[in-house]
Amino acid sequence: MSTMRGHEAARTRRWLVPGLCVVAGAGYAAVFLAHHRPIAAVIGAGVMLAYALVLVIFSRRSEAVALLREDGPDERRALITTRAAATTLYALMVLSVIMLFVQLARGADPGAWGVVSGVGGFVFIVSIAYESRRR
Amino acid sequence: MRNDVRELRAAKGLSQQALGQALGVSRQTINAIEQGRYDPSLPLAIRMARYFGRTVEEVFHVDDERS
Repeated sequence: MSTMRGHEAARTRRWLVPGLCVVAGAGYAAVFLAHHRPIAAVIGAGVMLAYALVLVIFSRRSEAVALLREDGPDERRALITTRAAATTLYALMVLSVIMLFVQLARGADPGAWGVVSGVGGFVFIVSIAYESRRR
Repeated sequence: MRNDVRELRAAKGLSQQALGQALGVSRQTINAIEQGRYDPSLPLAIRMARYFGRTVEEVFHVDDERS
């Protein structure tokens, strides 16, 4: 029974990201069509569908593609995913802080850069405090 | 960290895929462990050692260990 549930969970995980890509593609198409931009709708949906297809077709041949599709219960793959996510977020935070200072130097309103930098910094501090107590 | 996983696996006549399935990890993870690119967690190291009927110390060797 638990094995069957495990297989179902694994199948759900395998199709979750491609499914989300299809939903995102449909979302792009709907938004662009609502703004009377049919070419952008086709391109947006096409890119997301192509990405979903690449994940489905090549995930058995390439570990990197398999990791983009699902991380699964494998501890090394989970570590790779966590490190990649951390690197991505560091890059985004560095960009956000740089753009915040650029906007301030111009004498302009920092706008979204200020919000992203502030929220990012706050979440990082709270996460450090939480994780240091938990582990 | 050095280890004897490749030799122990070969002695059992197992492929990396088969060992990975038995331990609940991917073939690539077994390959990474054998090549010393990835040090497994303590629970996985214990599972591997038990699978081969050895202790963790008999399978995994720290680099400064003198034998």
